[in-house]
Amino acid sequence: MQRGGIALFTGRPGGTFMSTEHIRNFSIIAHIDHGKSTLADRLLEMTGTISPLKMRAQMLDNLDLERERGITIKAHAIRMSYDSPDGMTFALNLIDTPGHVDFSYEVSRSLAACEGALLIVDAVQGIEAQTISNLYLALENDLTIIPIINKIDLPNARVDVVTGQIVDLLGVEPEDVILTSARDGIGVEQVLQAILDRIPPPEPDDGPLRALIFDSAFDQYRGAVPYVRVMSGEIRPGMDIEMCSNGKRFEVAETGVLRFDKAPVDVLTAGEVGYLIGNIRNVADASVGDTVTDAARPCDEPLPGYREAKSMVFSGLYPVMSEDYEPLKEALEKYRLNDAALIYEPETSIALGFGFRCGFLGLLHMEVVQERLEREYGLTILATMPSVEYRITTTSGEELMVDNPADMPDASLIDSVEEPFIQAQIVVPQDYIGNIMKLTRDRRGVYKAMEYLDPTRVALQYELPLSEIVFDFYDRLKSISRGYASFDYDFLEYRASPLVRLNLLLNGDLVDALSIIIHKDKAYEWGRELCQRLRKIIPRQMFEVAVQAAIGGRVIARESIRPLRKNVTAKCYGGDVTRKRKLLERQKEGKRRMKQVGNVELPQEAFLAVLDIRGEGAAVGG
Amino acid sequence: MAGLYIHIPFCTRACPYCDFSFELLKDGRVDGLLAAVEKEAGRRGREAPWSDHVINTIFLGGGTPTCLTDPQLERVFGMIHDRFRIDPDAEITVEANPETIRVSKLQRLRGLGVNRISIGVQSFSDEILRRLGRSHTADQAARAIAHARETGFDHINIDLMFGAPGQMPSEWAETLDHAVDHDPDHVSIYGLTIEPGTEFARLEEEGLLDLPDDDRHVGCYFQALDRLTGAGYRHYEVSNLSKPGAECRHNVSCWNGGDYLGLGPSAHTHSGGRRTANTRDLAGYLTAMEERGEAVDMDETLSVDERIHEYILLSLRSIEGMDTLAFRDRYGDDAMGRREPAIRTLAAEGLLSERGSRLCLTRKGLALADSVCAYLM
Repeated sequence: MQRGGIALFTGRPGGTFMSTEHIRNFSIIAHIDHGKSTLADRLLEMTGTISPLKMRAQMLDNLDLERERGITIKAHAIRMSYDSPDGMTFALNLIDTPGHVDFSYEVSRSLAACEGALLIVDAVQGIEAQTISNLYLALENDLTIIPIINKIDLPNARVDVVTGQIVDLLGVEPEDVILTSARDGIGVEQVLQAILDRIPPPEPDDGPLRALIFDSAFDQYRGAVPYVRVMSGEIRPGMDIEMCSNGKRFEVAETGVLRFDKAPVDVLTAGEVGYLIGNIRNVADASVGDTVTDAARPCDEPLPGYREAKSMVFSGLYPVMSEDYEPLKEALEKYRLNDAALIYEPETSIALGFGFRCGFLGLLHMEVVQERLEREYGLTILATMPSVEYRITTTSGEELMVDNPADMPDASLIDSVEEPFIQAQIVVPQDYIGNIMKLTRDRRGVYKAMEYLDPTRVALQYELPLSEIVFDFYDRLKSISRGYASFDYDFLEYRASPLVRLNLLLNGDLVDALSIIIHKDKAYEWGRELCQRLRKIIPRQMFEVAVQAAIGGRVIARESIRPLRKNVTAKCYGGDVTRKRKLLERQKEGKRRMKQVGNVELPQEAFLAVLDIRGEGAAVGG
Repeated sequence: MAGLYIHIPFCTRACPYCDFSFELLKDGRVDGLLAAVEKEAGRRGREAPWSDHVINTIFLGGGTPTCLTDPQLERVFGMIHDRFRIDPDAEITVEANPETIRVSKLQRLRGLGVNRISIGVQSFSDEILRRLGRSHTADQAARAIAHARETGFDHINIDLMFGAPGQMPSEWAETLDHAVDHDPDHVSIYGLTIEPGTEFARLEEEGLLDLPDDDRHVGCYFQALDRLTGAGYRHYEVSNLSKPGAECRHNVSCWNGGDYLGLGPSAHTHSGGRRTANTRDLAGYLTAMEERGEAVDMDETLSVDERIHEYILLSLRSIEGMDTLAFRDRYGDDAMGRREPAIRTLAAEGLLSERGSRLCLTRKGLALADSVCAYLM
């Protein structure tokens, strides 16, 4: 590996680093697995920010789950020091971005903290849906884009085709595209040079302090630690700062830059990226997108683009064992310290007991939260079917937001129901267009546009109800395209739809956790499928169990589970009462793990079964 | 008063459905067992509470106790009388398999004070007996019953088994007719249960057992209840019927929470809420007796909940049912109150009936006795 021009970091802890002329702030945007983390690793190595020996592969992704899934969930930032071949020392701030659309707001704020972005495209895969959406976000923020084709060492690399895609998409010249193999270190030096040459330095601005919070961490001793990009003015320890969104004030105890550890500095001036510590106990006071200003000399207007994290997908999380309610509550409290986007409140279900209604940014966020709660807190969680938030206008003109089917008013009280629609980007080889069209039609999608990225790949645009993609849409998409389709989405608007609440009844008792809000044309099939599944899952009981799906008082599907006929052991032989008692106690214990609805014992699987109703061919989405 | 149970684990061959503690009969092994049982009896007979009890029921079970030789049987009863105080009116039962029953042996048993014999007939169909892997024929079974009666046994139980592979209702009806004709004063009816680890369990796993489905199985059970009660037997426990007054006192006492002492491998003992059991296998039992002078490998003192569970399962299995007043008296109103919703559900579903202060399994409930008991626990 060529190592010329590399200077080991010669930090100057105490002082400002340099003028803004020598600062470059940039992000890397890429589709999952196109090599973002590997390229970041190489940059860190080549700038001597960390030695290859110490390098844990893909340093920036430090959550296990991210490593496993190859995605970055929470943004991070790191400062590199680079001595250019012409003898000048630059500070390169790499601001990492979460790699999934659920976090598009976080991505947009990270990008807003930068002047440029590296756009990485896989030499084999070419442009994917996520590449496009992130690129749009970067362009909205007026970022200079450095296009990079990575993995050129792979035997099936299609450098020419992918170059063509990029040239078409960005309107750049083919020679502007840098070819790399981050894995082998090829082209990385050109990337560094392009960062210096093409990305403009930040503008100096000595107006009142405005610093954009693009991320934050939580330190159990020091509270919430916002990561900021100073846009104007400066921040020093001892200053009183104010959060523009809520007017809360804090005294700055420490400022610093982000290397692998926090490195305190005396001041952060306009153009710099760093952190501040100010005894901020509540993560909500360090919200991504918020502007930090000087309490003594506040700015006239905060930086644009701030919004509160908005939950898009909702689900009830319940402990499988009711005694785990308190541990679950504690786990959620702790979890939220590091992820302000998760919202939750206590909820009670007739069928599931005490749990929490949780709001997530999107599907992946939901999955990640559930998985991390189970993995990191050792809990077994039952998640109810995901729901979106519906806007209901009642006959009395009142407007309600309902994210739980159980809260939907009686049909006779509803004037109209609106549901969130999304704008979806699907990139797929042209051979699968037919399959995609069928899937999106089944999911009530509205076709908007199709564009050829190259002679074999197309980008399709659809408007889809969010409720139709909250479960298994992505899996179906992958399976009908043999894994080639990529998908990304953005919230569009609320639209009126003929939606009904479908209830599930067991021997006449409502199983609230199995209710759903569904398009009326799909209600019959769903109801039938759900009843059939439950018939197979619910064990035979001492009495007949009627499984019914109903809209209001109207039963639309019914199955019945024949009662158990026989369960009697012959005798207590030789006075062995113990064995028999234990046998029955075990039977009883098995039942205790079930959820009781009226006189019916419902196994946990019943609540999971409903989640893959669409997963099988015969079902609605098939 | 207390019961005494002695487990004689020997059989001449293995039944493919049986998972009780048994050993194939071989020379020399019986005497080793008897020496150990004598040692155990000697120790227990000197200890409280058994030293203070008068034994009023004795049950020699197995295995097949009647595969012992006459001198061996004499040794057993000699030991019993040596070590324990026996009520002159004690009920003394010995289990027997038809192929081991000879007139001379029956006479000898009578001479030893045995007044009740329990014969493992299982079926009066040779075909079914063959499928069950039994080593006797229907004819041998019939003769065994006749011999018992001839030798003066007034109390005869026969065990019958339903739900055998390939069993048809007509065959079962014939077996029941034969049973009634032989006029024993006690009949036990057992549904074949496939126990893990048995030959039948393996066959079933491989799909080679043609077992009746649950409806037919339960049908056979009800068929037996109808036929036998129609012939003057009183159904007094899930699996047991007898002529009035001929209930098995030993078992009834066990079910009513009475004390009993068990000797031999796998034998269970109960005394005032404490239950113990001996090591199950013969070798383990012999070693334990040799090394420790006792062979208890399970010892539990029941918690209140466990006592309640036992009370429910034992009392509901009796046809008289569970006396809710007695239950309240023993375990409190709360323990009863907690169960009332479940009782109402079971009653509404026709599985339990309330007769005065008693809760009884209905006919439908009998076939689901385990489910009902677990539901109430």
